Amino acid sequence: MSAQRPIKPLNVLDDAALMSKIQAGQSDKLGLLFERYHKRLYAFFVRLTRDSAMSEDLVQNTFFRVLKYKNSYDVNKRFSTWLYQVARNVFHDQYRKKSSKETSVDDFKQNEPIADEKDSFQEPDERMGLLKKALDQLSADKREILVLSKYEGLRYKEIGDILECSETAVKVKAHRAMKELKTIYLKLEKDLAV
Amino acid sequence: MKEEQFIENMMDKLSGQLTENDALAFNRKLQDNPAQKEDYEFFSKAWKDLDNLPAQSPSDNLRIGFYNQLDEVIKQADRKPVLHRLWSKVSRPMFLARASFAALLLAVGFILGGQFSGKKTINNYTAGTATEQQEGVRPGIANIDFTPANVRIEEVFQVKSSRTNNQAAEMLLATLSSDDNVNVRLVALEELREFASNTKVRQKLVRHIKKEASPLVQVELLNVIMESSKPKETINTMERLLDDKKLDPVIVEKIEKDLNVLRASL
Repeated sequence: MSAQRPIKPLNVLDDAALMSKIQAGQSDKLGLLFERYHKRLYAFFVRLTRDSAMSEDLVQNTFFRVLKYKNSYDVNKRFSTWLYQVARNVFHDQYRKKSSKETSVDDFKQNEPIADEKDSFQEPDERMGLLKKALDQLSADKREILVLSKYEGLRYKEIGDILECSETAVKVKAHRAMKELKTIYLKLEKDLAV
Repeated sequence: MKEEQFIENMMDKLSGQLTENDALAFNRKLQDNPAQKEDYEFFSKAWKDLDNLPAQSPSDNLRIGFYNQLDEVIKQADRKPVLHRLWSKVSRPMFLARASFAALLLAVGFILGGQFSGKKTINNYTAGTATEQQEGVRPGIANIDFTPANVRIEEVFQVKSSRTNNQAAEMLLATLSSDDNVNVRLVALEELREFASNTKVRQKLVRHIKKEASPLVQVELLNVIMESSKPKETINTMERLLDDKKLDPVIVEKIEKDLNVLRASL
């Protein structure tokens, strides 16, 4: 006699439901949110900081800040938006710590490829290499808006909620970022030709 | 079309959020504006190229570090209320006065009690049993807070995704031994099936057979043990189980049938 394997429930707890449980004291549920979001957050931080070890610390700090400020999350709102707000705060706190050591937000290993990625930057496709360098040379706030709009799968409205500005303002900022990216790219291309 | 609207449309188009009608108007405007057209062509190509930039994955250290810290936080949270309560009481100004008064009452009660009753003893059997039971409770999927069984089943399914193998196996074993719902225990056992090749896990499953209240779960336990052990080991296990006279007759019958099959296979 063999028991039939139960069918997995379709309504796997959504983010807000998990947050409700965390708010009720079930801190272990943070693990499920970690599994859902840590890779995305890591990619977000790596693109901002160009530092893989620091990015791992930032991801971990973000999740424990989620736990610390769990009660400030409104379960009727989208969790990912709130998570990115927390992540940005963690990143800016890190920047403030660095600032106290007389560095700037743009000093996050700008222009310096991540160790593991070095080989991929020396790929034959010159255009991709230049684009990568141009992206790294963007100011941190412009890089952030491009990362959020390009890589995180967020709509401009959500980015507006994260940055606490209007949807139109996000698009204008993203446009400025693209303009600056183009300027840097063309300069790098020119330097290469010389 | 105003400049700001044009920029908005451009960014919408890049991210695939522009409606068909707006796209037509945008394209017409683009033809009239060579500088913007040049920008857009660069942006469009760069936007696509950004997809091809290599992405990095976090190392295993991130997951290990996170779960270690989470375990610490959970342990601290379990300890904190007791310490917090004690501290808040001790730190009150009236605490010493109240404690002294309570000690005095206790002493009077003890003296009077000793005079009036030489036979009465404090029956601490119940309290002792309760303590033993509490100590016996291991961390599983909690059902003491009246979480519905379907939610607990869902949580059992997610144990592996958020734990290391050892932690997952421990948690599933604890659920198997403590949850009062047969379905939850069956699901926990099903999830444990892949860990049954581990000797320690298998030994715990064997021990659980006698404690298990449901014949359905017992049968399934036997199946898992048979699948994961060598025939000789299974025969020894089953023969030891047959020594237990309290075993459900259905289980005894199944064990005897399985034993015949196993002995024939040797």
